[in-house]
Amino acid sequence: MLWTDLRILIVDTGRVWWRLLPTIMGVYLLGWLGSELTLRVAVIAGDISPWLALALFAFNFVCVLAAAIVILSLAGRELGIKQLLPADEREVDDRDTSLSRLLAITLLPFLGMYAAFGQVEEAAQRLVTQQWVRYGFLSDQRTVLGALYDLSTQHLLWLIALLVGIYVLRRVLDFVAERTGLRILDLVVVLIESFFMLLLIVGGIRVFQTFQAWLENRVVMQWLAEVKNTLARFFAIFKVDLPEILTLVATFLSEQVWPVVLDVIAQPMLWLAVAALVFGSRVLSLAELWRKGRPYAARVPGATAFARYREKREFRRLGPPPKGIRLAAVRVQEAFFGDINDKYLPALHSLRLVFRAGPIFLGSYIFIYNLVIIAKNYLDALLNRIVGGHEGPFWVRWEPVLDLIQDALVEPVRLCLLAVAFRRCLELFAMRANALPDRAGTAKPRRAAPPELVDAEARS
Amino acid sequence: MTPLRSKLVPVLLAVALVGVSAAGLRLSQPEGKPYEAIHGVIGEPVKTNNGEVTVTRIRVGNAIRQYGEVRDRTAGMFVAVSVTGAATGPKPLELHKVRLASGEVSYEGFELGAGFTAQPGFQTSVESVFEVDPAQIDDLTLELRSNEIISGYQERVRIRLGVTPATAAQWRAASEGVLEPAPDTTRAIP
Repeated sequence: MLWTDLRILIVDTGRVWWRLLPTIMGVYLLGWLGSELTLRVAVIAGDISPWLALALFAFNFVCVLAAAIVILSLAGRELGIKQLLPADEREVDDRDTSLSRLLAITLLPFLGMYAAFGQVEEAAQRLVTQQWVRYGFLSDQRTVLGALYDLSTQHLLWLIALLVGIYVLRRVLDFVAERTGLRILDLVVVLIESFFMLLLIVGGIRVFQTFQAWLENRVVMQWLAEVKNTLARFFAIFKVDLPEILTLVATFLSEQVWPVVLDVIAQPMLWLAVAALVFGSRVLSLAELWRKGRPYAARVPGATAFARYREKREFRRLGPPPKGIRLAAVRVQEAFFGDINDKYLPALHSLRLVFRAGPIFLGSYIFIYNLVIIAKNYLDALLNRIVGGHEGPFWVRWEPVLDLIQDALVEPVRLCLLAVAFRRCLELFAMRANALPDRAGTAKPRRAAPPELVDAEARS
Repeated sequence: MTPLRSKLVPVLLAVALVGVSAAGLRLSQPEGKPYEAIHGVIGEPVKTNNGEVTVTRIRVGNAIRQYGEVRDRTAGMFVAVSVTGAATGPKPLELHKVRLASGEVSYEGFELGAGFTAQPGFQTSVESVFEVDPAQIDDLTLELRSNEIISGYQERVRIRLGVTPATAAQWRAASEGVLEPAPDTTRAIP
């Protein structure tokens, strides 16, 4: 079983990557080009206003994430993930017919992933570095970092008002887009969402730092220090050095346990959960049903955790439609929680789903995912050795090209692995519902075998 | 296989795979910022991107004299390293971050500005002073690099000063005396 999972993850990833190589490489390069161009334009726009630079810079993420989402979608199609659904259900999901809709639905969790693992901060740092290079360190020109620092430390209420305003604007545009079906509005929503996240993360870091500095000067911190000292004195009676023990435990947790949890386990698992969102709520509902050992025919629209908010509402509504204040309350609830339900919760449900794929699969997937990251690290070291040591200005100029070499080689492989891993998850859930044969060789009744890989398996 | 074992074996396998992944990931990530080390020995020029660096002389003492009077004394040992940097390329040679290292122990310059800048076509000579622990001077190595706010994969020049465990006692014995660091000089590259 372990060998089967490892073999499937390695062989199918390689196979999908190789089959789609020209297409995914083209998509990846387009995304890279878009993001680099946006960065350059944002740096120049900083001459006019740091806010304009930040707004344009938000487009940088849209380019990178759009490329990633398209590659995942292409890999999913190559793997026949949608073929697992009955024919009449395949085209119902609107994320299949519109890239802007797919982006609008999935961008938020993807941006969340980028933010959680420091990539948003890293990208913002690149913008700041480029501005430093352009203006110099002692220039009076206001940079993005300076503008955000002022806003979050001296005009916090303005920052909050700005965030609320952007959120409301986004929800209004979301509503109009849904009513009118104008796809260009989806794209505008995506851009606003990206700007919102950037502002929230970069501004939020400053607010947090200001709060920390404020907290350290409060009396309550002195009280806590006193409690700690009293406890230390009490334990000293029993010859126990409590501060030393606490320091050792904290060091062990922060330096040994936390990096393993965050980088080795959480990162691959969260990426898999978020990647699964690209394949649509129907596929996730199918996986959920199979996980419970039930066939897709048992599906009731709106009954699974992955159903769209509107479907869930229709499924739960009993009796006559609400009127008056109740109707207004429902509308307000929909305006705020509809967004959370459609964009945030599926990522959580998806994570819960992939965690139930079984320890062998999860171990194998985490192992292969980390192999890809390890390969990237060594590739980075190799490129550094080839290019050799240089001064800062050299790296400011050439780092994007060197990053492209390693990312273009590794990132598409990682994305293909995510699609293959989710496909394997579905297979494992399907086996529980007796809907697919076990690829390890144990015969089980076949019902909805996806043509591509099962045929390839049969040939080998 | 018993039900307990059939549940336990997959979990143990998964934990083992995570453990191997963690070890592999840790090994593939360098500790601290990676850099290119360019090694050299005393008396021989070491080529860097913007020029050449040569350590010409090492002196030791337990006091420093400046402007004719003893300014500082140490219970340890002062090491004065004479370095010449020649900017042979079109850009200045700027090596402002200088330290001495002996194994895991690191000694920063005794005074600020232990490094130097040489303009293109010129060579600058400085005598950098370090206060060290006489008990920890084995394999003493001078490390020079540029001091940058924005930096990437940097060059670090590392020149071994020839203080081996066998000769360390002689260096310690020679440190009874007063050092007068030579002033900085700049001249055209011959």
